[in-house]
Amino acid sequence: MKDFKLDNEPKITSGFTIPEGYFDTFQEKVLLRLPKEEPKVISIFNRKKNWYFATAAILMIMLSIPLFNNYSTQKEEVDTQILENYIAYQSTISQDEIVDLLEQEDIDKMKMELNVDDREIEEALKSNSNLEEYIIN
Amino acid sequence: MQDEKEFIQELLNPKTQNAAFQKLLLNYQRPLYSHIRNIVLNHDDADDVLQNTFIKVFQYLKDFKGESKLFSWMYRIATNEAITFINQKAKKNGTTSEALQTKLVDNLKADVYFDGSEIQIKLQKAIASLPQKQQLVFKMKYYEEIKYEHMSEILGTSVGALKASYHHAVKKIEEFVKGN
Repeated sequence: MKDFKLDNEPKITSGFTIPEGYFDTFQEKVLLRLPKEEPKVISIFNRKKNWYFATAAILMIMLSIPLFNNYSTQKEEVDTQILENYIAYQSTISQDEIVDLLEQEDIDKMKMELNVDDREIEEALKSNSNLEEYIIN
Repeated sequence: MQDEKEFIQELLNPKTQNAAFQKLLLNYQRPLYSHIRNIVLNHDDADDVLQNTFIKVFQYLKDFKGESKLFSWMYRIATNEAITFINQKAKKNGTTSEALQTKLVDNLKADVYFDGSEIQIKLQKAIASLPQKQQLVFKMKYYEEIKYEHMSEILGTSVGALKASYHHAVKKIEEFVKGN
């Protein structure tokens, strides 16, 4: 072939052909292959919900602490009262027996409490005019 | 086509995405098919590469910054996919991509989906003898009639370099045809 000039020639096409109806189904083919969005799984272990539950639980515990304390101390008080009443009115334990149970230290403490000045006794005797009557009777 | 930014927004919005993507397919499937077919030469390979191209477009659409036009961005993906495909095919067959190209052109005569005359086959053979970049520039300019400005956006090469590349390609092709 002599003097072949591409621009002088009539346009040479590529010569490629396409199967009939190729583009009619092409879209569908691609759309089917597109990555699908993952379906959302609603989990019972949802993090956000867990936070709600945890907060609620902690709140409940915190609120119940004073209630619990109150209840438990009340119970103790009742117990001591019952005990005191029992000792005071029901028991047959004599004072001497109680004194025996006390330690020397406890007795000393009591003595300290009763340690009244002689002067004060005198004053009290002076001021109380009915005292003689009490003594006589 | 409508305002491109608006169209890209439609493509990204899950509510309008499906309809917009179908529109994108309708508008670009034919030109992109031609572009890919010119590189990979047989229909089945072009079909594979075209599908992969649209799937990549869909996947990377959220990263599309709008720095270039949507069409040139898609052409760039298609070009990369087609050239990667050819190089991988050559590797699998244990040859170079140039040797594979020559072999593919030889196979064209037997291809059901090639309806070419003697001169058409001769031109394909001449193109196959060119370096890969020149082949690409020649095919885009001669067969697809893409403007240099657009080609520059797609290939990231200056217009001047593209013109020079095309000029060299034409010279070599003319010599090849004369010599055969």
